[in-house]
Amino acid sequence: MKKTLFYFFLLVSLSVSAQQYTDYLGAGHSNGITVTSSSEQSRPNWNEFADDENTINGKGLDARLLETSRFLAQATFGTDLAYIKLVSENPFEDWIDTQFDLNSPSMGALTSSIYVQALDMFVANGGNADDYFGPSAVHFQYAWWESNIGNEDLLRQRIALALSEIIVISWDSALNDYGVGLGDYYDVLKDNAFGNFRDILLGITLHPMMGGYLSHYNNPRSFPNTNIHPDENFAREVMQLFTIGLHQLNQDGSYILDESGERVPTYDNNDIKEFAKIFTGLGPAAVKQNPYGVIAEFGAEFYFVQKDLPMIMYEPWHEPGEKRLLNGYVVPSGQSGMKDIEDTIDHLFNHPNIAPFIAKRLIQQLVKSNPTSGYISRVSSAFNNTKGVRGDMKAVIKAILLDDEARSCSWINNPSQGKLIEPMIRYFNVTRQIDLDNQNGLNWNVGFNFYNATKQAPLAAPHVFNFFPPNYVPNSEFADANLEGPEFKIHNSASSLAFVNEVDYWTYPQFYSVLNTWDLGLEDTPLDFEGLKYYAKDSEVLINQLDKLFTRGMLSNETKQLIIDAVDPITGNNPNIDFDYYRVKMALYLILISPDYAILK
Amino acid sequence: MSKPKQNNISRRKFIGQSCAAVGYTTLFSSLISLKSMAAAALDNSSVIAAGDYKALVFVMLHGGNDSFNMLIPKGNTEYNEYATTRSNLAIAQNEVLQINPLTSDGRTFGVHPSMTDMQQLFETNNLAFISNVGTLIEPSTKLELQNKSVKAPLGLFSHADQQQQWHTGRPHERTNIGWGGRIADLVQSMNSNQNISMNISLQGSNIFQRGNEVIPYAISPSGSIGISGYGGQNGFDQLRTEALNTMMDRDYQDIFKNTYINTIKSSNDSSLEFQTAVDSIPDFSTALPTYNKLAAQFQMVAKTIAARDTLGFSRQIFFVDIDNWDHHDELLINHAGKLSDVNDALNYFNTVLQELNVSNEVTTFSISDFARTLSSNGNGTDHAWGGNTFVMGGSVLGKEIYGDYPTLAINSELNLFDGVLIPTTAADLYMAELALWFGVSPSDLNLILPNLANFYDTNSGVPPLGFMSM
Repeated sequence: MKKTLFYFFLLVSLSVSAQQYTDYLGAGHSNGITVTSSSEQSRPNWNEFADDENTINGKGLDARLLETSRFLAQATFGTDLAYIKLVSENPFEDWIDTQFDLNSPSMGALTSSIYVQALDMFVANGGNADDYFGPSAVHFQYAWWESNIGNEDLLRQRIALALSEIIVISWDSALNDYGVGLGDYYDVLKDNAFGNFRDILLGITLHPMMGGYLSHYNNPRSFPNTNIHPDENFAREVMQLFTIGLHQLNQDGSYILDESGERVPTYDNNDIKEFAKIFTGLGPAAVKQNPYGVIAEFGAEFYFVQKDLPMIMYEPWHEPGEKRLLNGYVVPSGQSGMKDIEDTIDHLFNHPNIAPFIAKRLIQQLVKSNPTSGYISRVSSAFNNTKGVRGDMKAVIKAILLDDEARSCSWINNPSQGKLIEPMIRYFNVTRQIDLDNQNGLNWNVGFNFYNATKQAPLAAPHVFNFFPPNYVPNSEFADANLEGPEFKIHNSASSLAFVNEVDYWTYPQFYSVLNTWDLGLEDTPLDFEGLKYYAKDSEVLINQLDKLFTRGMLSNETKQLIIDAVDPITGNNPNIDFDYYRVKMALYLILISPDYAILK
Repeated sequence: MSKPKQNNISRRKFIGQSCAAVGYTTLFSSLISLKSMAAAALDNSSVIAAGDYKALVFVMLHGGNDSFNMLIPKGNTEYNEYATTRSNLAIAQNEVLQINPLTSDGRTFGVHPSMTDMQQLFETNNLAFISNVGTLIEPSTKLELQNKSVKAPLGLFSHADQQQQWHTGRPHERTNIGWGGRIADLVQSMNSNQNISMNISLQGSNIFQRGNEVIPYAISPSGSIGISGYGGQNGFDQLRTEALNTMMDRDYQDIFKNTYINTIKSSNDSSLEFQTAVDSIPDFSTALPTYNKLAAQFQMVAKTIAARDTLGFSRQIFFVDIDNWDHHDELLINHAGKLSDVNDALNYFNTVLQELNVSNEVTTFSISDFARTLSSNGNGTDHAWGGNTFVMGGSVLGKEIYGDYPTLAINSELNLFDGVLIPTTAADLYMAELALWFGVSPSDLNLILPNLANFYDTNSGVPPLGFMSM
């Protein structure tokens, strides 16, 4: 039965993937979407109204809202209903174009200024300035959250996080102590999110935080008489994880196979040794003031390096001679070390694998775990050459978000469609989509409880392989269907329940906060239920509201019914009990842990 | 207004009575073949006596342990080879803690200066090393590898591939089913507890413990958690519990949704039973080393073992993991810190197991992605291949170095390049020895480890490496 269904959907998907996107929720092809007439929802406290006929002919308020909610779930960390409404009024491409022009302040600079502010608060709160450490990863977290609540550069921030899970550094390492460096590294991703991928690649290669993380900072040339060879760490991972991957790819993301049906490696260990020679000789551009006489020179201890300036080349420590890279390409001898690096970045940037490799990873981050070969190949060609520009991120992002496979609702019930929204993005959703009761005027957050529960926070991967590998197969059901589910790597018996209990905390705003800081005497920020309580008199109205916000109009009848059944009995005449509060809590709690929400179809 | 609820009783009941309750495999799994496989395993193995218990504890040194600085030549000749090759990363000869294996070829060895307790565990027969063990498809020489007349493991030197192969025992393919999972598929039915997986992970999802049927039950060093308020008696919690049951008991057409909710459901089902049993275990008299993540994991493993009768387990496989062994940089300092953590944690675990009187029943073994280049990259080392592992327990024939400790001269025939050593003992032999001790019958070994026949005749009647008292 199941197998048959799957093949059926496979056929459908193949025929659909070639079509131009013409469909939208409510246009009459909305498999799996319940579109209710808006007027059905006209209740005493319901302030939205649309004619039945408008809903039916596709002009109704809700259908387009739901479609927009789904789009924004892929392209942002979540928005409120007013914003969904705003975006729904124009083609999505218009919104994307507007977003391309927006940027928020530098995360590095903000980390720095937040640290100064925090230090003042700490002292004003009775602390001794010498006891306050930073700027550290904590201040980077504050800056990240400050940049992501109430901001306008929604798409840029979403892309920056996606890139940070592909080109990984992490403060779950010795980098923890360098908040400004973390912020400045994030700026490379954020500021180039709509730029060119080559600039991202060069930027991260020369960034001292990457140099510290993958140890090509202070990486000396070889000294054969003492058996010393160049460090291979960055050389390996820049290829395996950041650009071309282990195996040769077709432009549609499938593996090129040799005559015996085996995958063809992109490089071997000798190639890694040649690349390792390239990334030698990089050292500090500057060091911070210190009483130890440490100056900016090759070998200066990482602690002292100015973490927001690109590393510079120290020629005596750079491996001389030619380097034989991939497919017969030779970096000639006799040129400067920085020219070696530029040439190598170009070499990787022009490798045929990079387009499908990056295309698939970005699609997996934003839209779905298992893009079809057609989808990957359309995004690849956007990467390869749009109007003569290779690696144009704007073209890549549009290709991903406006593709039929991302937009058309005919895809929604396809078994291959969708992804598990990773826990931290579900956290961002809650803080951005529900009102906050913010008494301190800041949006700083350390996110420590959540990190403890799920081991997730921006720039906090356990290692360079990110929180989860892109090809993770969670169980035999996935394996049998030949599907991948990367985010399921961190959805196990311990973490899945820890997340459910985080939701329980968040939805007790009188007891627990969603944003909080350490040691500063700032009031914590919980959710604010007042707005939702307005709708809580009628469970169905409340749930429809949450459906638009969280389940993108795809709340199943079964889940809707179980929530109604749990909410409706919460009522009574006792004036000392705020029944609406508990009705909101119940509905929000259940919707946030429901598969209807956690799986973005 | 409310619609009649779906009747989900049948699925719940069915799962409660079958192997499918282990992990969250669905009705689509081939239960029948599992049952027959398990029955076959039972028929072939010795009869399980009441109170019989065995546990394997997989210690993952995540990132690539520089294990030739863990088990180090001490005698002058072999030390000088080591020191020349390792250059600025050699441990001083007088700091190497000497060990005295029962069997010796004349060379003298020692352990890293951080490993004072492990030295004692070795000397008291509780610990053994296996030397230059690594992933192999078939026996391989340098010449054969260079002219590609033998098959080399896929993705040599890559973390992801080599971790996967140590977890799967299948260096010739990329699969997500582990050898610990395959063993559990065979022996899970020995346990009277069919609700909680016999494969318990202290470090989330992992390939090693996933079988075709069994998936690991992930807990934290403080045990398992349930859903807050689930089963609670106040009105709100009653409504919540009913809603959660409805949500969790539903079969979703969608694989993503099904997997998402079934993980939550099976975890919640297991958590109450698990935590009640573990909470009843009194604290150990042995002091837990502080700031030691590995020791904290061992503590929960020990508590789970202590609760084995309450929980109904006679066979268990545990997975613990300690990260950050990828010492491309600052090797000497960082590696010493890691080995010190392992030393303290192993000593703690060994003492606690003695306290519980289960030393002979629990075997703890280390695995890492690979060893590291013998030569230096300045102040660190890069990814290599064959390396040294340790195995600890009362059933270990300790105070021995198994396999062949290689010469560390840079020009040796085992040196592929830069001090990358070709393994002289296949990982398969290491795994097979552990599996045999655990109770897997010799005839099933080839099912679990398909390349084993290239190194070992399962009909030979002698153990693969001989480090376990069978």
